[in-house]
Amino acid sequence: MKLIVPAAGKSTRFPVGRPKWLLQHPEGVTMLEKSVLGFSDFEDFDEIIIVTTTSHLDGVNRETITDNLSSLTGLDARFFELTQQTASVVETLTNFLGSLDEDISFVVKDCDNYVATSSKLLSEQDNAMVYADLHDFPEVSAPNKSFIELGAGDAIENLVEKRVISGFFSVGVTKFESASSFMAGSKLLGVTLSGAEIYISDVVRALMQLGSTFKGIQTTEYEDWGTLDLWRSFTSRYATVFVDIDGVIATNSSRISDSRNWTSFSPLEKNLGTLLSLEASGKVTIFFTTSRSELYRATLEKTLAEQGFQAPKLIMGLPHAQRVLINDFSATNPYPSAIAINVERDSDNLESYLHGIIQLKS
Amino acid sequence: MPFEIMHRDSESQGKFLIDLFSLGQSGCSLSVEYGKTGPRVTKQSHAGIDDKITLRLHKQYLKHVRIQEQGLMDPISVPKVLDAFSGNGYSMSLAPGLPLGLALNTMSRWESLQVALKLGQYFETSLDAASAHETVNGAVTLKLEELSAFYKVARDKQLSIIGSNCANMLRAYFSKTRIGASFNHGDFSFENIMVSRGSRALTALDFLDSPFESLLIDVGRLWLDLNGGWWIEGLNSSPTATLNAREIAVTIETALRKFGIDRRQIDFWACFAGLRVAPYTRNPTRLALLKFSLARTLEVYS
Repeated sequence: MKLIVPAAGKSTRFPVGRPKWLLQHPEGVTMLEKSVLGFSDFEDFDEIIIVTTTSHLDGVNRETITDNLSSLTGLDARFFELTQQTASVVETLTNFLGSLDEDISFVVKDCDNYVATSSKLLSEQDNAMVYADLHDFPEVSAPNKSFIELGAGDAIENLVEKRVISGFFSVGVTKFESASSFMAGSKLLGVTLSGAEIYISDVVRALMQLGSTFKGIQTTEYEDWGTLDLWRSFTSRYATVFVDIDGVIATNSSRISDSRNWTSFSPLEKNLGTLLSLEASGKVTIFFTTSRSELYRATLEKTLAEQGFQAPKLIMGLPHAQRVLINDFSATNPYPSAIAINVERDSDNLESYLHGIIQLKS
Repeated sequence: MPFEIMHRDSESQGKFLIDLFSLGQSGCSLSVEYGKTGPRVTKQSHAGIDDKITLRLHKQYLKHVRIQEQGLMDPISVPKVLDAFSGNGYSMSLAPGLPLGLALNTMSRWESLQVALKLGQYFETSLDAASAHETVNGAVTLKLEELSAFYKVARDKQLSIIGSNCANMLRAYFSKTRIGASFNHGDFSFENIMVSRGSRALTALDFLDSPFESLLIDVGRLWLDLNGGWWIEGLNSSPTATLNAREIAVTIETALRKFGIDRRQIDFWACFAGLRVAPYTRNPTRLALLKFSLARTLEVYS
C-alpha cells in the first residue's frame, strides 16, 4: 500500500509566492512533511510518493525533504514530477497512476492538513475514507468540506461535496483498493486534462456507484491548513516567548536586597500559570531572561522546574536595560513578527496582555 | 511519435514495433533483421517445443498462412510469411505503417474514413461468407459461463462485481440471439491493425484462435478500443483520436446494420471482448479502461 501525497496544484488560496506545501511549519519542517506525520504507524505503507511539478521544486533540495521523511517514518520517500501544474487533485493522481506498470493499492493524503489516523486501520479495508465530527471541530468552515452519511458497519452511504448533509466531514485521507479502480472512476466522471476542479470525493462517489464500498474511519485530531487564513491562524498558536523573571513571574528582587535577593523567588502565581499553560500547549517555547548572574543558574533552573516548567531555558546576566526584539516578517510570518509587551512591575495580569497576540487555545 | 516521422525509414519503424510489442502479453519475442531483400520480422517462443506458448504460436502461424492464401481478411493485408514455422518460430515481412491506435492521433477525417471503409469491407466480406447453418451459440454460452465463474471469485472486488454483472447480462441476451459461425482474426485491436501513410492500406498482425469462430468477436474487440480509447495513449485519448475513432465507429455501425446487427449487439460484443481481456491485464491504465467500458455498458443496458 503506497502513501501518495498530491502536491501539484496552483495554491491559488495561498498567494505567498511559493507552493503552500513548501511553507515552513513552526516545528521546523515543511507543511507537507508535517501533514504526513499524523499516522500513528507506517508499517502498512511501503513507500511515500509526493506527486508535484518540476517547477514547484525549482531551487528546492529534494533530498532534504525525502531524507527527513524517511528518517521520521522509516519509509522510502520520493518525488514524482509532472511537467505541468494540474487543475485538480484527481488530475494529479491520474497522471501519476497512469505511469505505473502494476496495479497498486494506495492511500491519498492531502498535503494541507494534519490528520491523526493509522495505516493499519486503512490497510484492513479495501476502500476507506477518514472523517471527523463537526461537533469536535466547531471552528471548521463547513461549506468547504465534503460530508458523508454512514450506514451499517460505518459504510459510507452518501457523500456530497460542499453541502452539509450530516455532522461528518471528510478530512482528506482516502484509501483506494487499486489504481485501476480510481482511474476507472475518474474516467466515468469524464475527467479531461484541463477540466474544472474535480474532487477525490467525486471519484469515491463514482466508485460507490460501481459497487465499491468505502468504510468510514473517524479521527478526533485534525488541523486544516487549506487557506492562508487558516494557516496563519494555526501558526499564530506558536511563538517563542522571551520573558523576564523579576517583576514578571516573580516579585522583583535585587542583587543587593536583604530579603529579596537573587537567591529568592516569590512567584506571581497567575503569570506563572499563564506561562505554564502556554508551555503545556506544546506550541510555545519559553526563554527566561534575567539580569541575575550566571552564578545563580542552577538555583534558578531548579526553582523554575519546581514551578512546573520542563527543562527551563535561561538567558542570564543580561544588562539591566532596555530589551529589544528583532525579527523579519513576510507573507507567511506576517507583520508584526516581533512584539514587545511591557507589564507593570509585579502586576499579575500577564494573560490580559497576551490576548490577541498568542492564541491561548492549545 | 508522429505518423509522418515514423515513416522515414523502416529501421526506426522496426524498432518502434519491437518496443510496442514488448508490451504484448503473448510471451513471444520479436526481432527485426534488415537484409538486401528488406526487413524480416521473426517471432519466436523461448519456451520449449511442447510448451503452450510455442503451440499457440504455431497455431497462429497456421492461421496466418490460411489468411494469406485465401485472402480471408481482404481488403486488409497480412504480412507475407517468409520462413515457415520451424522449431519455435517463423518469419514474415515487416508490416508497414503505424498501429491504428497511434495513427488516430494524426489522421485527417478523410484518412479515417478510408480506414473505416476498409474495416467495413472486411466485416461485410466475412459476414457474407458466414455459414447459414452453423451457429456458435453453444460455445458462446460455455465461454460466458467460464467467465462468470472467474469473475465470481476475482480478487479485484470492483472487477468481480462489474464482470459478474456483465457476464450475466450477456448470457441472458445471447441465449436469445442466433450467432452464426464466420471467420475472425481473433484479436482485432488497435495494436494489431497497422495503417500505412499515403495508401492508408491496412495490415493485420497477431492472429489468435478464439473460443469460437465469429466475426463478431473482431467487431467487439475493435469497438472496445474505439469507444474506450487505446490504453497505451493513457487514460484520456487526444481529441483528434477521439473524433477519428468516432468517425470509424459510425461507419462500421452503418455497415453492420445491413446484417441486422444493431448497436446493442455491437456494445455487447465489446463487453464480451472486455470480459475476455481483463483477466490477463496487469497494467492499471489498461484495466481502468476495461472497467470503465464494462461499467458503461452495464449503465446503459441493465
